Parts: sequence; C-alpha cells; structure tokens
Amino acid sequence: MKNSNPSPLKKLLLITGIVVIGITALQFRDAPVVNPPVTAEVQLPDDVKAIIERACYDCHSNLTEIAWFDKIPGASQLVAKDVTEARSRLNFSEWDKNPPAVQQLLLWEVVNAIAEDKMPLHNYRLLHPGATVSAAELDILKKYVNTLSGRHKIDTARIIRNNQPELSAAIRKVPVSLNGIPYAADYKTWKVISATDKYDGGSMRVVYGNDIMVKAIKEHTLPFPDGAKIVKAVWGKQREDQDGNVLPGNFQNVQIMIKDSKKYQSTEGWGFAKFDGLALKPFGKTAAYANTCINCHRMLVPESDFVFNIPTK
Amino acid sequence: MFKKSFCVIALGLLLFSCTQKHQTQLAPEYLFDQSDEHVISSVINNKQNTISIIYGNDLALKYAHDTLRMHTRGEKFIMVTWIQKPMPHWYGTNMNGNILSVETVKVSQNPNGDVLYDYQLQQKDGHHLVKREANNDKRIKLITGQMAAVFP
Ligand code: HEC
Ligand code: HEC
Repeated sequence: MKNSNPSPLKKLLLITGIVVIGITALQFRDAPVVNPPVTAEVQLPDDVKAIIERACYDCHSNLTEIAWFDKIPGASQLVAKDVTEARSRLNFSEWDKNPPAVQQLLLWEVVNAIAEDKMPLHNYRLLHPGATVSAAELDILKKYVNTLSGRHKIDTARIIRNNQPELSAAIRKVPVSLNGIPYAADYKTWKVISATDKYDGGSMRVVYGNDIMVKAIKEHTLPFPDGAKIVKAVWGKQREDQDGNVLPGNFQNVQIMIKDSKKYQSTEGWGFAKFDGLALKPFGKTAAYANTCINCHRMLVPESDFVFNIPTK
Repeated sequence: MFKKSFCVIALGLLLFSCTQKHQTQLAPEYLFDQSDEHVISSVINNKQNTISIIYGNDLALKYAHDTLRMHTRGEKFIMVTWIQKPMPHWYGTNMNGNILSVETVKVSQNPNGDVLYDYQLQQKDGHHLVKREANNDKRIKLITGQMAAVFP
C-alpha cells in the first residue's frame, strides 16, 4: 500500500494541475462585467453624488470600473456576481425605473445601509479601502435626504372616513395578497406593540402583535415563534396644531408579517403582505414582491429576526 | 491556577460582551396593557418629543366615529403617552420608548343631563405609575375630541 503513495513532486504537480484547470474553468464560466448603457442617471447635488460615485458605483451603476486585482480569475467571478445582484436591487444608472416615491425611499435606504455598516460590502472594502464612507460624509448624505419632499409631507386632502368598517367588510370580497395571505380585520383586537412617526415619508403608524407575538416579546423569545403575526396600519399626517399635536390623516395601507418558518422559508420565515387604500388592493405585480420586502428587512435588522417595530432597550 | 481561572473569566467576559452587543434586548415594559379597549387614534407631538395612543371602550369608539358628537354616559377614554426615540437600525423613523403617562377620562351625566368628565392622570415615577393632580380642561378636550382614525 505504502508504495502507491505519490511522491511529493507528483503531489505538487497534481495540485498545480488542479489549480490551473480550476482557474481556466472559472475563466470560461466567468461572464465578464459588461456595462449596459446608462438610461437615466440619478440627479443628486455634487457633494452627495461624489460620495455615491466613489463608494457605490462599482456595483450599483452601469459605470462599473474593474480594478486589475478584480480581474484575477475567481475574484472576477465573485465581482461579477455581486455587480449583477447589486444592479438588480439598486441601480443609479437606471434611476427612473423606480417611481418617484420609491426613489426617495431608496435614498433613505442608502443612508441606512451605510449607517448600519452594511455597504459598501465588507469584502469589497478590504480591497478598496478608499470606498469606505466616513462619518462626515454620512452626515452630508443625512442632511441631503432631509431636504427631500417626503420629509415634511402633510396630508391636507379631505379625510375619507369609513364609519362602518364592519359593514364595508361584510360586502367586500376578502382581499388576498399575491402570495396567498388574506386580509383579516382581527388585528384591531390585538395589542399595540409600537407607534411610529415615519418622517422619511410623511406617515404615522400603529403596529399590532397577536397573542403569540406579544407573549414572545414578554418572554424575551427571539427569533419569534411560528404563528406570530404583526400588522401595521399606516396613515398620512395632518398639519401640526398650535400645541404641536399631529393626528392621522387619510388611511394609506396595511402591512402584514406572518411567521411560518416552513411555508415562508425563502423569505426568512416571514410571509409579507401589503394592501393599499381603503379598497385594500393587494400590493405587487407578482408574488415575488415579497423578496423586495425581505431584502430591506434582511439587510438592516437580522439581529431582531428581521423586525424593526419591537420595544427594545 | 489563579492565572488559569483569570483567563477563563476574562475569556468569558469577552464572549459575553460580544454576544451582548449583537443580541436585541427586548423591553416588554414599554407595552401598555390595553385590555379590551380599542385604538381610537394616535398623536405625535414633536414639541414634547412624545407619541401617544388614545384608546376607548365600545361607547368611546362609537362617539369617536360619530360626526354629531353626542356623548353617552359610560364612555371611557385612555390616552397613553410614550417618550419618542429614534427607531434602532432605521434613520428616518421615531418610535415610542418608555411610557410617560396614562390619562383616563370617564364620561357621565348629572340628573340635569349635563355631561361630566372625570379626569385622572398617572405619571411614570421610576417603575410605577403615580396619580397626579393636573389642570385638565385642555387635556379632556384633546383626549375626547378626536375623530377615530380611519381603518379599512
Ligand atoms: C462590491 C459591490 C457593492 C458595493 C461597492 C456596494 N454594494 Fe450595495 N449591494 C451589493 C450587493 C451584492 C447587494 C445585495 C444584497 C447583499 O448582498 O447584501 C447590495 C444591496 C444594497 C442595498 C439593498 C437594496 C435592497 O435590495 O433593498 C442597498 C440600499 C445598497 N446595497 C446600498 C449601497 C450603497 C449606498 C453603497 C455605497 C455606499 C453600496 N451599496 C455599495 C453590492 C455592493
Ligand atoms: C426600504 C426598506 C423596506 C422595504 C423595501 C420594506 N420595508 Fe417593511 N419596514 C421597513 C422599516 C424601516 C420599518 C420600520 C418603520 C415603520 O414602522 O415603518 C418596516 C416595518 C414593517 C412592518 C412592521 C414590523 C416591523 O418589521 O417593524 C411590516 C409588517 C412591514 N414592514 C412589511 C413590509 C412589507 C409587506 C414590505 C414589502 C411590500 C416591506 N415591509 C418592505 C423597511 C422596509
């Protein structure tokens, strides 16, 4: 048996061979990063633009500049994968693909991705230390998002009231989201787990948790157990009165998260649904909309089971 | 021996401090036990840096839906006020932190049919809610005066 062991030299040759073949294979599998045409460049003040271009454009634009070390086989494949994924999420070169309200939300998300130290990606920063956004630069970005129109939006429209919700519920067909979650009004009897002023978009919210969710909070159970449900009701904000009080204006939408770790495995165990307006129109074009929901929740609150609105110290 | 146990403790502390940092600390004491009351509306006040919810019993909710604004004996309103704090992990939203006060308004009528308001203020003092005397006309107006927030 001992004789059949390869000599050190043979071993070395074998390994070198495998590495060479591996690299060549990677090269062939590798789709090089191509830059599609810029269709609608984002419009930003110069100082803001300079930060974003330097820190984010290699992945989130059609103006990717690949450094020589990113062209090393293997590395280049990883880069290409990141760029493709990054562009599909947020592309500053195809900015008008997002409706105006979504554009503003994306800019707030940009600030938060940096503030939470998620972006630029860590492995990219190791090789491109110059891409890191400094605290002073983050302040410039924060100042800028506070100038966007959603920041001080007031709901001045006449408030459409629905004085008999039970009646409208009785005559309406139960709305069902594209991923099969029905709207159910029972959250109105649940406990409130949080109340918020979402000043980035001019809305105010009340968030409810069902018994399982509230019990989990009380018993410090994280991640939240199957059967936990969260419902968030969203309104516009009326004009502030003399004493500083701001009250809810028109009803905007209701958003739901339901925990079922098997059924919603692909979205971290949470089923997402959103119903717009008093007509409760199910949100999205295809059931894949739930990916856009979890993408943002996953990036920013993985340590609290992807939930923002929980009472925390 | 001493050195060894010291190392173990130090390592333990190090690990502990790391896990502490990444674990979310839930704060159930911020929840208000609303029992069977319904949400009537919510109030943001950026001058006071507070956020509130006005709850009510069935009669109070009915009143808050009623455009004629006719009180009925037995209405009970509860306004819970929390301090505002920035939402962790999302710059762009403020949320409720600790409870500051709980105000209750009970509506009754005297034999002449005049509407009477019984107002009670409880303020958070350390871990307890303590009854306080307070000028209440303005607060009663605010608490009972809101139309119900619109729900689908
Ligand atoms: C090396 C490539 C790379 C760079 C540079 C980069 N990102 Fe990303 N970004 C990604 C990838 C890949 C994703 C997909 C999610 C993930 O992997 O975390 C992403 C996701 C995002 C998202 C989430 C979008 C969603 O789906 O909701 C935001 C926001 C974001 N990036 C902002 C930025 C900002 C702002 C910068 C610059 C400061 C930046 N990124 C720099 C690769 C990059
Ligand atoms: C750009 C990031 C982002 C996207 C995309 C997003 N959310 Fe959220 N979501 C948040 C933030 C921030 C909060 C907390 C602030 C608030 O109260 O709205 C939140 C809160 C929630 C809550 C209350 C529970 C919690 O986590 O605090 C629900 C339910 C919810 N989102 C559902 C959805 C649904 C459904 C979608 C997709 C249709 C969606 N979200 C897409 C950022 C996002």
